[in-house]
Amino acid sequence: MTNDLIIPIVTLLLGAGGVSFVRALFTGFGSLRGGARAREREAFDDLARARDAADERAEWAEADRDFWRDTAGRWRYQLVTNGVEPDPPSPTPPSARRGHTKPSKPS
Amino acid sequence: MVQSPPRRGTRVAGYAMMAVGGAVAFAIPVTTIEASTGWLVYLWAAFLLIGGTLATYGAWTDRWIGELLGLPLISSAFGVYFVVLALTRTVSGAAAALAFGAISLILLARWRDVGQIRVEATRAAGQETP
Repeated sequence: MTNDLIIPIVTLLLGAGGVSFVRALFTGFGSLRGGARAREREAFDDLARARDAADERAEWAEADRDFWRDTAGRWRYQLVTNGVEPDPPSPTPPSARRGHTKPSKPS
Repeated sequence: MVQSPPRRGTRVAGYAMMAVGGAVAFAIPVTTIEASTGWLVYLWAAFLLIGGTLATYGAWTDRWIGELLGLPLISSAFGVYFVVLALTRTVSGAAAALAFGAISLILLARWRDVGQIRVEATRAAGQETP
């Protein structure tokens, strides 16, 4: 009974391994031809550099956001002290509108 | 950026042992597998030999293509051991089958990780270098 089972199962297993090998052959060399890094270390370094660049972009974006927030505050103060009503008079921040809309990304 | 030292020695040793095991099994077929599978024992040994050699090359040179190609062959070869031992229907056979099945699954998991490295390397190639 077992021998009847073993041959098809083993054939299936080895067949699956062979098919996976052929698929990996095409996808792997396709990636290398497309310019993918061949070495794992280089691929990891690329990911680390991309993360560092994303962190740096986020830091600059936060610095810009803080700068314009402070500038807007100063301008608002100057408007009010010169008798001009800012429009809108009481802006609602995204966190106060939570549940109604998603936070909008600054343009 | 901190560069950690390469830790590939254990993988090189492990894959090389599998390749040598495959070479020996090709020359002198494993009797339990030959008795159960007939001529498929040579295909099984070839999978172990070719997969082990490719994976050894990949681990030695830090090139993911080696493991990407070699691991499915090795994993299915260990899967064959799992099946053959599981179907002996003995307690010791089942215990050994579980051990070999576990190795097969771990190799499969490593293959999926290497596949992810390929995907990320391909994505990075499509982007400008920061």
